[in-house]
Amino acid sequence: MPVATLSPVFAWFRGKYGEPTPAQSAAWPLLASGANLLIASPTGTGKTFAAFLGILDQLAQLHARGALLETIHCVYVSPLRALSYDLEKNLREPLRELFGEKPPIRVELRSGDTTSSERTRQFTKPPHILLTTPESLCVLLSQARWLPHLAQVRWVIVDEIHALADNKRGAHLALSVERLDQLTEGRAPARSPSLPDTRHTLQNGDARERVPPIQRIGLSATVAPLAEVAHFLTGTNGQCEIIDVSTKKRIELRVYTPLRKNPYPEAGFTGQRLIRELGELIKKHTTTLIFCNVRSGAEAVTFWLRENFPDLAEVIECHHASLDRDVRREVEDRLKRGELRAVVCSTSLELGIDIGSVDLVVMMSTPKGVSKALQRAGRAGHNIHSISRGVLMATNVSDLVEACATTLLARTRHLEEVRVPHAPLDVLAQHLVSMGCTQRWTRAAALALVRRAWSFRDLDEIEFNDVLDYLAGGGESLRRQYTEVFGKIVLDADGFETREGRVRREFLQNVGVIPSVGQVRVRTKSRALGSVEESFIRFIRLGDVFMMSGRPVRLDRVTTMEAWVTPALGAIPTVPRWNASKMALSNRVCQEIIAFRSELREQLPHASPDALISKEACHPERSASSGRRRAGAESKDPGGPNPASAATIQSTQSDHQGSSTPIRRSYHLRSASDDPAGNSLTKWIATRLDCDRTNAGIIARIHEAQHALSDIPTDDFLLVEEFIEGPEQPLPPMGEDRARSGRSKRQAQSAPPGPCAHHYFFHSLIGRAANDALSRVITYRLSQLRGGNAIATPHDYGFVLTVAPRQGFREDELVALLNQRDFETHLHTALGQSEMLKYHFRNAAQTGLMVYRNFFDQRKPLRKLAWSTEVIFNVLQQHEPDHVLLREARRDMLHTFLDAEGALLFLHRQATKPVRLRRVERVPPLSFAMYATKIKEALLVEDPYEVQERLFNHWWSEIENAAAQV
Amino acid sequence: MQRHKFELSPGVWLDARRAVWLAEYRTLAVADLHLGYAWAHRATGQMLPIGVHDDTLDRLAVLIADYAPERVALLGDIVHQAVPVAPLEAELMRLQNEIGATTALHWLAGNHDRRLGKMLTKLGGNIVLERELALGPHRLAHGDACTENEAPACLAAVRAEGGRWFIGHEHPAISLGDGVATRVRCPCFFVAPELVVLPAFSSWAAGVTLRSGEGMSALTRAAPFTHRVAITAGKLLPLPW
Repeated sequence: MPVATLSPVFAWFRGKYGEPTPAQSAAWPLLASGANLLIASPTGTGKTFAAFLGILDQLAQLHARGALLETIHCVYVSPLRALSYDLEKNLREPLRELFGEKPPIRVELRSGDTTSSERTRQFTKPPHILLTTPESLCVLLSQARWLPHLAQVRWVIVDEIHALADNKRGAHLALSVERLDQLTEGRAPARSPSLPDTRHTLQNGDARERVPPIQRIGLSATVAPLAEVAHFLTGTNGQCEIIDVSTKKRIELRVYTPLRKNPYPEAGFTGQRLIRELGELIKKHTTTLIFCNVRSGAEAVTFWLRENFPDLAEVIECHHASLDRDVRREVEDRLKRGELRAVVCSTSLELGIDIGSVDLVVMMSTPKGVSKALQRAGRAGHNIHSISRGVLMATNVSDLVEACATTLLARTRHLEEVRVPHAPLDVLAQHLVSMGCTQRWTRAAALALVRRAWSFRDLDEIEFNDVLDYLAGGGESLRRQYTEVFGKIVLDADGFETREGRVRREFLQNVGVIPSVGQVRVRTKSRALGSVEESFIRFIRLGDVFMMSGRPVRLDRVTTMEAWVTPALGAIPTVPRWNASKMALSNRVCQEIIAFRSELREQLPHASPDALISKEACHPERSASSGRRRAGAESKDPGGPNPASAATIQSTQSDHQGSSTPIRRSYHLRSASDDPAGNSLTKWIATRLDCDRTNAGIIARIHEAQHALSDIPTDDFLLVEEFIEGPEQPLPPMGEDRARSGRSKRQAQSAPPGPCAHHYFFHSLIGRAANDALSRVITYRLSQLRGGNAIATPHDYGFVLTVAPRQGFREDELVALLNQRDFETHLHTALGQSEMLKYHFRNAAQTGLMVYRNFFDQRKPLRKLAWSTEVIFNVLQQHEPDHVLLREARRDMLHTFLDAEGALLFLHRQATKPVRLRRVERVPPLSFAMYATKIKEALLVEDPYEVQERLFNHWWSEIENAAAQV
Repeated sequence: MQRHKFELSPGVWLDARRAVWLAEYRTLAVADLHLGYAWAHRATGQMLPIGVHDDTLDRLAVLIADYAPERVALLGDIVHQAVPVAPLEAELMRLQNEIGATTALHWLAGNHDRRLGKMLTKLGGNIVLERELALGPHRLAHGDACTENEAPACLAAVRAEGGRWFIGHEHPAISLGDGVATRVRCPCFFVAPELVVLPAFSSWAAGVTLRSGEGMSALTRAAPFTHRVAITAGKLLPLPW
């Protein structure tokens, strides 16, 4: 288009930014045509103006014609308030430059932070462009007086839509958008003919009949499949154009090459070891953004970086969602101004606020998914022309393989699939109350509206009515029996309406789906620092030192809602915050790793399918000794207190003295690292994983050790390793308060060998969520078989089952434990009273308005909240197990948090494959990460790094010694 | 070691049904009935399930039939909140007229009972809420009235006479584990030489586990507890503090 014919808005853009980016030039004509649009591109590719410039232009044209109504034309929704703040600045700039200090087109922000005077002003003089959050949008839609303001909305923009599509917050927003849409439809015929019809004027007077009521624009980072996200955006009624320019921006991902030999311990997070190397990376770059998967990790990395690089201490900061908002803002501002050399964050800087000139992104331990890796790396090089450089820094060996697999998949763009949640009933309950606040609805009309949202497209009518019944105060019989059921809505056979007065006021205080997890504010005398989990504060003692934004603080005093601390400069934390990563490894990466392992196993000697048998055959001692042990375990001598365990000790020792299997097999370990065969393996790995020789060498070494000590788990069979730890002794008696017994148990376990336990390492490489489901069923079945309880610790690579000696099992029993029959029934039973179900119920009860999160702006003391939901849970579980919110909690747990389908699919495929139960004398390398996850929780007394290093050295030296004995 | 009743000191029995029996005075004590719990929450907008029959008074009636006490002391928080709803009124009428006909009821007021007096008057009874009940050396109360300054003296006074305070208010509980995987939270009694804190009689109470010094009442914070007596599977399990 020649510059002369450009409208002022586009001319301004050309003058300021020059050529449009690919996303922009693709988006503008489509937007002008009125189509719904999903734009997928990394940050720094001009998404904001791709979406907004056309809208600004049309608003400017309306203004020029004197046809600009004083009402909201565009609603922008983002999951982060910070994004809206940023955008407000970015939009005001062109408006000011085009129209001067008081532009006729107003942009304003509306969130939970908006003061009441601002709200009043927004009501009397609504902005043309409203920037808001999903929650605040729903609040507006719940107030009848706001509806006229919203009825003229022409555009809805959903930013960072990928962060909403796969969760309940997105489902909540989707319903709001459909309601907004219907509102504009409903208003259209009612328009006064004297008013200019904005919709048609916007189409240059060319009155088209099938103009979509609201034009929806979604802005997304790199995700797949885009079609699903497009459905999420448009609902069941709309078509959507997709612009995917995510490949236009160059993202370079690589796996860090360590400087030292053998740099990786087996166990979990070991920032310390890599801190010096991380520091060197920081020094070489201008600004480095470091992602850790958990907040405690971010805290620890910040702390150790500052300890090790005192000269950089002032320019390294920590950023995560638990820090106080002012603290976070300060960090963001300093980052934007280029004052910081490094920021260590959890996931809090993943989403797209403009963070300035980051030239390197480091991911400490893998991001657990390909899309996440690309999104995080995309945070570097914040403009279309610069390359985003991302480095994956593995913290242990499993991590290293995972990092290589992730990078490989990212290069070939194999992304995970987004799953839109299916008809969450708690979200539905909230919206039904919200809808009923502004008018009476017939059941049919409400159901039809709800079903327009993609999440709810096949919402069952019976479930819909169940939710209405719950909201009305209980079933029909209850309402007949009592006059005072205090329902949220007044329901009859035809329709419903929300009760007036208090119910509506309280509802507005409790909109949203974000669970309030027990948080205690942490503060010094002078300022608020942030918050920590209530459970964490309850565990620690006064005087303990923990980390807050990377600085050690000492706990002085705890009140109900606040923890008072003083800075403890120079002190080493006594209480680390070990929150195991909640993120599960994506299926895509799992598949890649298992494929790699299978191929690698072929590369090693004796790795034909027959080797399974021949391995047993050439180690008669092993089979014999395990045979002895099993015989012992079965002989039930009523005389002794625990004859079975006595027998087991014997054979364990003889096994150990014999040490036959590991030594025989370790022949390969030695030869592999010295002779050309080893080099060829390294070479093979380097090619297969497209990684460098150093990393390939490390991976080779660890798999050779695994091969020597046990076997390399592949997709062809299920490997289960049995490892007996510590002397056999009876279980400790029932006892004591949680905190106390927790502490003493930890002390007892922190020094291996601790009390005797049989660990079974199941190498089911299906991701943590599926392993969690699987391990619960196995645990339940084992307790049916043997009585008592067992602990299962799920991990991405499998799970550890820890049992008492008398609960040990044989290979044939193992096959029965893995049966796919009754899987779901057993899972339901196993989870019936679990903390996990309680947790999900607590969320559902809050979202579904059974209990309030907030009472008139006063956050409820969370202990009380926990108290009442636990009680309600118990009552419901016993008397009303089919309650809609209990149903929702179960679904949420099974399909969102746990991957029940994945677990069942695994068992289904496993049914035709062999199971190998192997007795191991020490924890093999590929099991160590699982073992470490298990013991992590036991490591709270000592410094975790020391303990993990010590354990690592302990196990590793045994492995090396075994090899050296040949 | 496990049993249904446990004689703490001569004449002072703990009952696994969340009650104390003072044999010498033929007095049964229960604490924290929290009648109308679900209804009170409903009235303030929390949609607690109410389709379920609350068995609190049934259990009390069974206890009374068992012991045939001269008097029953209700140690405060008799209602969760005196909301004027028919189901709560019906329960109070039952407590007053039906259960009250079988024994002498002492209605000791708790912090939740603020508007209970008025409600009972409206229902047409002539019940007087008491603050405290003295039985020989023993004192029975809800336990929240005593201030931080008075608490040591209060405890010392009963100790001197060889008696105890019996209070509620705290809803004590304990979390028990088997060392491997199971954890259960059970109601329990907190026991000190001069104080017994009763578990909540209400079936709605999940109970609160205490760290020392964390008690809600001054008496609890001042008392040197020696034992928790847990109620597990309907039996009593004494555990050192």
